[in-house]
Amino acid sequence: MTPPIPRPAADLSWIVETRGATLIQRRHGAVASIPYPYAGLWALLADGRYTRDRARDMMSVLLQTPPQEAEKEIRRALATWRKAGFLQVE
Amino acid sequence: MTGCANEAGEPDLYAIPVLDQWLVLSPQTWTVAMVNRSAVAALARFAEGSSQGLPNELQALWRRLTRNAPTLPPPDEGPDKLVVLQPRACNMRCVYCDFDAAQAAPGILDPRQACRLADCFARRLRKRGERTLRVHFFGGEPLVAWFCTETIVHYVRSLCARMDLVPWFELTTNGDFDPSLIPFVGDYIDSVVVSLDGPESVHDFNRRSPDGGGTYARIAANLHRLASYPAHLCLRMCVTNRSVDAMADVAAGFCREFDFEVLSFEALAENACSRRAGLSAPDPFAFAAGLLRAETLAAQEGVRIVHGPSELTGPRISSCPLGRGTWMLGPGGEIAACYLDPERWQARGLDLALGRVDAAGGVSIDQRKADEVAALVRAKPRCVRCFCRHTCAGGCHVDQTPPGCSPAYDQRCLAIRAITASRLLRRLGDEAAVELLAGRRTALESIARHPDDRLAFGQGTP
Ligand code: SF4
Repeated sequence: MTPPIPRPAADLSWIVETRGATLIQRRHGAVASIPYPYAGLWALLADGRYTRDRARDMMSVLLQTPPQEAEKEIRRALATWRKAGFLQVE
Repeated sequence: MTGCANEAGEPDLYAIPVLDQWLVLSPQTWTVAMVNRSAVAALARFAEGSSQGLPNELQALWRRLTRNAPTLPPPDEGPDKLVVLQPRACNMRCVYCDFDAAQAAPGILDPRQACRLADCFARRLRKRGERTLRVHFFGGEPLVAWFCTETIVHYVRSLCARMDLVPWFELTTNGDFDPSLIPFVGDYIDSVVVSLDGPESVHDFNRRSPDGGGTYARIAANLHRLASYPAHLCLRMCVTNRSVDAMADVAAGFCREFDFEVLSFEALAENACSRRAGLSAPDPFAFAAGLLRAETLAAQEGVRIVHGPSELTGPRISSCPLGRGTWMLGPGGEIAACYLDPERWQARGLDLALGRVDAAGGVSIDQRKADEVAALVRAKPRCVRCFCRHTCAGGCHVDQTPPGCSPAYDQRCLAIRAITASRLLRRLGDEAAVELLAGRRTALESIARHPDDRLAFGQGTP
């Protein structure tokens, strides 16, 4: 079974800033700032072009780590964002 | 002589015949004035060191012309921007393109190479106390390898956040890209330059898909989508013999149809491909007149018209990237001072390769070669007598003013000189004179063909 594609939660919008992204929830206003390098991963999700391979390749360059390490970091970031309610799962 | 002396110790002052008057210019202090024949003759005699004094009414002008000027920036201050040239391949087949994109190896850059070069660039910027790290994506077509472009953008943003720098990205694209890339382009690129050669029929003749079909409709749709994003939009029109007389209409049409900030006109540089398609360089005076008319129309819509070598910016030592210290990174990790195909510069006897970067190893720049390039832009005998020498400053150093080039103005010089003088008049607020020039070819010609603009040398020649 292919893993679900993470997408931003339906009630979330975001602003692209020089140093990252600011997430805004409809009911609560600005709720989090995502700094770089993780803002690169957020951009893939937000633009709807996330794939596991693409995220791994890009984050491996941004984090300057081998691909396996990058994958671990991606999993950690996605888990944190999911827990915070920033992601929906299809 | 106070201030404003050129390298030979002569006054760096110029006078050009405009209609029945003379435009006097100090390009170093940006002092411009219109004077009559007897005034320019008096100024010229004084500049030549005549013992005759200057009439009272010209003394204030002389002081403004010769007040201490800022010195020209040294050419070897270090890189001003990083240009990523990848891939050389392209998804379009424009009839005048001699980049040979169809034959180009896919040659996609390892983004790590660009990242290592950006690291090195960032350290140099910090050392010089500068704040902005500028990266320009150029090809081929950079969005053919969008994954590489995107990775570099996010790495550089990450790097800038760490090093307290401000990233600035420019993308030169043919505009025929997958609409799913719009959010990335619109949100993460600061300035997007899209080539559009005119209305649909003209554009589609010039700029085609590999199957020979037109590309205007897809590009126009992308431009409309991009208009709702923060990216600054610049349209670039390559002007040919066929489109030169329509420049003002094209500008008006673009202003009606698109939401953009800048329209850049470039005259076609003829090559074997363009000749096969029946296209040639535009007549320089028709090009100048078209640009001036377009500028009048576009200003009413808040759109700025750009023609690189005729911009009133400076004083500068080069209007092309060569000599400004730009690092051009090719798909194999090679670093050069010029974006043109190496065969083009090698054919002129130039070696513009500067070094290379490895994904793991790091950056090596041959400083001796960088110094040679800096010296090259200083030696332009054709330009010594030209009033555009600190604005155009030699144009393209490979195609227009390579070492050993003819001292005579070429077709490009004629257009640049006519446009620059007219823009100086515009700066003086003399719109009526600009309108007159745009409609009178002989007046543009007498500006452009004036053999020697130096105040102390050329004034015997009406
Ligand atoms: S002579 Fe030609 S290339 Fe040189 S500055 Fe003048 S217009 Fe430019």
